[in-house]
Amino acid sequence: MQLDMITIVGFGAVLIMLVNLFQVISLKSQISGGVVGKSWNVMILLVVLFAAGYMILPFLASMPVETLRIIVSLILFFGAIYVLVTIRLIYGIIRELSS
Amino acid sequence: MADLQGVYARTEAGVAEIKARALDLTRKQRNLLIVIDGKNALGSFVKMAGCAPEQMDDVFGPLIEHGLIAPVIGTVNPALAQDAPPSGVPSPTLPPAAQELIALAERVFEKHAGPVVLKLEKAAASGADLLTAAESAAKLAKLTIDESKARDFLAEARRLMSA
Repeated sequence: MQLDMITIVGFGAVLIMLVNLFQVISLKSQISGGVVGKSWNVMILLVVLFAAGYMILPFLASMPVETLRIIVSLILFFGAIYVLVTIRLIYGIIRELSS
Repeated sequence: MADLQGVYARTEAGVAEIKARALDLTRKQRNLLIVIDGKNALGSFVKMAGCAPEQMDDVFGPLIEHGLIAPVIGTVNPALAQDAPPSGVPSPTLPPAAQELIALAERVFEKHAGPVVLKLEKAAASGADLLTAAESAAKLAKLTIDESKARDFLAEARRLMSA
């Protein structure tokens, strides 16, 4: 495997996503339910998907273009869902704290 | 046999157990551990712990055995005082209203009550308004535990505070 800038960035992304995965699962024990708890399970699922998707990043160079396009579009799609869930969660917290 | 006239206080181990839940205490044992204040006789907590006087041995015994509570010196019979763990140092106590709120939180949120109890204890220890603390704790519960239980807790807490 060639150690170029793209590979290094890819490994960095995987590493950070694994940290995210660890944190999102660790925090679950403190969030059994409620407004945050409802969104948290979705967020765990999305982070698991991202972590799995990011694992292929170091192997991008050896993949067919069509496969790459599918993977990138899926990552973008679930990324958009993740942002939506996060924004709704923050809105819910703000609404609750200001009530 | 539990001495219902004796006065007991939580030890440092008892305070730690409320937060850590390391031991497999029943809800009644945990309620009793929370409400015991080092001032009032054990018998006065029978109702608050949610058990009959004849059940007090089962509830009280394990707390003593684990060194979670200890008799306050000079208020209990010598036999019980001898059974107390040597490391048992009574901890600072909370106002009765705060203890009732904490017991309520334990009943409503059960095994998830930890963060709410901690919040109430901190508020009570710092002398903050208990109703405000209960409202704040209910918000925390609504966000992280259960929305309907949080509403029940707040309604009951308001009723307790106004009584």
